[in-house]
Amino acid sequence: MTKSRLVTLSLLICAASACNDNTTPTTPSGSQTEFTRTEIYLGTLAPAGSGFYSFTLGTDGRVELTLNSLTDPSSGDLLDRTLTLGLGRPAAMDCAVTSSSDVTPGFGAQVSSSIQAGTYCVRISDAGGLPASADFAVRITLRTGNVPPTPTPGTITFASQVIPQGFTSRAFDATQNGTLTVRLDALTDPAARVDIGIGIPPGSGGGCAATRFLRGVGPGASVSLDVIRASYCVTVRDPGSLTAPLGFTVLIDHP
Amino acid sequence: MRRHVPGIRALLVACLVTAAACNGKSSSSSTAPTPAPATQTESFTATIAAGGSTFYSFTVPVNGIISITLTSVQQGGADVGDALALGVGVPQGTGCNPSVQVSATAGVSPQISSTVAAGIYCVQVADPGTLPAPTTVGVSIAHP
Repeated sequence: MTKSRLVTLSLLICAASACNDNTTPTTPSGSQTEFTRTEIYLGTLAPAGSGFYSFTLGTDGRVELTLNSLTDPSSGDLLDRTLTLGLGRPAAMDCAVTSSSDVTPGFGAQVSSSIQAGTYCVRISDAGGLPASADFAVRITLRTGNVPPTPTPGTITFASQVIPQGFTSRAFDATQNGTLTVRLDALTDPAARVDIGIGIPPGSGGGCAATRFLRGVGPGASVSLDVIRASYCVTVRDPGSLTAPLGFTVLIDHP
Repeated sequence: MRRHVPGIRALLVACLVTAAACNGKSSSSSTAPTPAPATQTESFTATIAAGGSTFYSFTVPVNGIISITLTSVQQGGADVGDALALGVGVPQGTGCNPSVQVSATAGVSPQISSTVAAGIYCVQVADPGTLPAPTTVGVSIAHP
């Protein structure tokens, strides 16, 4: 081996050993399977008030915030009011916001950001538009990794029955961002009416924290919403007019 | 052979320098860095209702030592000797999730001292169930 070849080989070995940082991912960059975690921040906001919620992300990732619902505490009616939703860091007795947006209730990502591992907070506040206290639900979606699961859009047939004063719910996943369409396809009594709600599963207890309603509707009623990749639910309930169990078929066309 | 030694030495030095430059914070040294001492102090006062609690978040920029002191406990403007639950942890949800908690009365010496990694932490003061009335508390936090 010539001297020049020896030096070149040595430098290559040197460079390889010196820069073998043990923080290098064991899998090639760009092939880390995505992990998603969702937290729901529920609370009541007073006029001109604010609140915050803290969460921790263990590794670098991405956060998406959505004001899913804003409702009248007494009637449950959706309030179409604008609130400020912010992302920041807990500081003293508040949340020091670094990015924010004025939002109305919806299902899309309203504030999103790439964040490093650490502790963060979501802050919700009213700039004066709330006439009275209101219940709210903010979905915090945390994603790590950069290879999302393969989307499997499709249509779910939700066929069951609802009893007087009762409700029936079904949870499902939107496997990618897109448009969700929910349609009441049929009722065993076509003249009957039901309420259909779309919302977020509250957790392991089942049920559906519905935040968007089609009230007193019959066959053919539908609604389409822009949603982010996350879990949702549909609930069918008696609007107060049923006198006997009612069979229904709801088609859930999810992205 | 002898005439090759200087070149090999130079290569070895260059390799070591490169290793040091590349390794950065992932040093292979087995000696843990000395925790930074407390250089800043934050304090807060708050009033907690009977059965209630309060918390305060603070940032520790580097690994180091934090010390928490419950400095005052007052009811109606007068000092009282009630013991409260004093904890330190991480902000979580709408509160503070303490990982260390002690029963403390007001004093001048830290009731909690701990070595922590850089990050955001919180101090929580809670009524253990014995407060007869709203109580104003003062807390001092020393951290790097």
